[in-house]
Amino acid sequence: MAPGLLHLEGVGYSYGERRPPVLEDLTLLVESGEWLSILGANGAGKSTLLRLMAGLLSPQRGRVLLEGEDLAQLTPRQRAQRLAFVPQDVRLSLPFTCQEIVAMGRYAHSKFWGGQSEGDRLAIERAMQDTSTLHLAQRPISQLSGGEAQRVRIAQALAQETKLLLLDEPTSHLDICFQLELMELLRRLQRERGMTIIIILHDLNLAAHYSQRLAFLTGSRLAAVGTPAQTLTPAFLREIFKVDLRVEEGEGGEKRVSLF
Amino acid sequence: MRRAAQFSFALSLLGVAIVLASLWGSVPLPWSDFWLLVSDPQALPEASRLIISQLRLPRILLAALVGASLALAGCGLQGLLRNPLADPYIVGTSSGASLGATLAIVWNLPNLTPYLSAVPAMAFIGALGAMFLVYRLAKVNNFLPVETFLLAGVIVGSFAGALVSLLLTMAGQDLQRVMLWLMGTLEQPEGPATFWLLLPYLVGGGATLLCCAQPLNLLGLGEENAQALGVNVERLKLWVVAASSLMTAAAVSVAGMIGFLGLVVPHLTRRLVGPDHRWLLPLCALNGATFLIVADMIARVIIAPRELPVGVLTALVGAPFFFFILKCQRSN
Repeated sequence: MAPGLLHLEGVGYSYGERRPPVLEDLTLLVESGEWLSILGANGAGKSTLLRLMAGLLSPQRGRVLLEGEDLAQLTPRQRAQRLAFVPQDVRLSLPFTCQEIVAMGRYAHSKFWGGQSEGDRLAIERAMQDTSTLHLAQRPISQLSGGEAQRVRIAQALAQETKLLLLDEPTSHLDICFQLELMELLRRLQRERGMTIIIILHDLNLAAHYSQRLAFLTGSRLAAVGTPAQTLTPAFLREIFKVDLRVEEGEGGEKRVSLF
Repeated sequence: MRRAAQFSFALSLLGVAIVLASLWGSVPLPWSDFWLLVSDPQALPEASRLIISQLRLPRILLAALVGASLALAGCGLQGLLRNPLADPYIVGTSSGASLGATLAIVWNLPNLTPYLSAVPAMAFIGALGAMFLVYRLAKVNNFLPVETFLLAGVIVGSFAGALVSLLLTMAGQDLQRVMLWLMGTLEQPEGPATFWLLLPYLVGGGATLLCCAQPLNLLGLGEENAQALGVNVERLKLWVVAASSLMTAAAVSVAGMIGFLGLVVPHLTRRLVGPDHRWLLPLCALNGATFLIVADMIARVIIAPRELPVGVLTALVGAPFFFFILKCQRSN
């Protein structure tokens, strides 16, 4: 296996000194080029974990290492040159055009006052090509549908030209067609560009189908990390989500989870 | 190309405003005088030359500085708070300045130097005090959350306002002087000296805000997104708040409370040129200068030979105008 890209060492985090910790003593190694999905019940600390991995929050205990370097020691610009983070879907009502929004992804690379180099222009065009958003270039972001807007936000993250992409529930608010389209886009990026994908998902079947590994959070700790085949068992899922789920094996041994 | 056109349009508006304001006044001057001033100043009648160079031009320049400062500060804060209804007075500087000015008037403080009288000096100290107080109150664990920042501004503002009212009720005979100051005026006994005192704040504050232009654009995506794209959000807040507050403090301490400009000018400019702060900020400065030059010109002549406080005029004209714009926006 390729060497580790992101390494969490005994990470603990709490919002405020007197509040109970959201995450405790969490150790995890993310391999380069893998797709890791983070799952867990609401309030289990998934978003906090993703923000720690993205360097947007700094752990109070432990360290997060990106290719051996402590994320907390990097400046915001250095960090944004090496990893991209797509926040949860927030409707943008800005009158900026899609191209301008994607171009903002180049902030960490660009010179003073946002001047664009040839490399910037190429990165923007390629990001928009990859996400099939070129035809939206001149449209204001506020006029797009949910699926289109989400593609533009991913284009913005791709324009950062990083090896690591973190996404916080990118499929929520999207209909099933857009969900699949988005998942296929991410798989293409992983396979063709060798990108590492870390993603929070709610849909167990989407996670099982696309991920190499699943990480389950419960009660501020990492309950299990493993392949879908290892982790998706009725007993384990009951422990995590407190409901009885049926797990069937589909073609090629792929796991299918259903409620009824 | 569109940008260049917008710039030249704003610049020519400013030019027209300067010409008009230097000719029009309680003693109207003919158009020919302005040509003479530009082409052959020696041939200008002595009286006209004195009126233009000693009375009107210093005042026009001061109006331009104050207008540009308030518009820039408003634009920066609107961008930072991501709220088009924010204005420069929201950070509590104006109330702090009022308190300082009122104290100077009520205590009848002596002038520090011949060029700087006690009222603007105390107003500036009051404004800075309020600014630091707001910043201290709003800070939570080294972060500056936008909500607590707004709240702290309101709290400090109301408290300073209450103190001003208390002082006013206790000292009756100074009431008119304080009221006149509060309403805002560009009539400056110190003339050009005030201009030179104010200039560094506009240049420094404006340059700081311009450096923050691209990060401010990114902040429109939300704090978290901007941070993820490489913006040092907390440092950006500090710079924008400091630059805007200093510019407002300087403008308010010399010209008093000129209301509405810092809200209306950035708002209208944004509607004309779009949300990109790299263009929005410089155009706001130009339009703010034009706006206040014109408003001051009207304030000088409308009830001549007396003068209307320009702050009263900006609010009287600005409020209905703003309402009208919003109404049109709705119906579209």
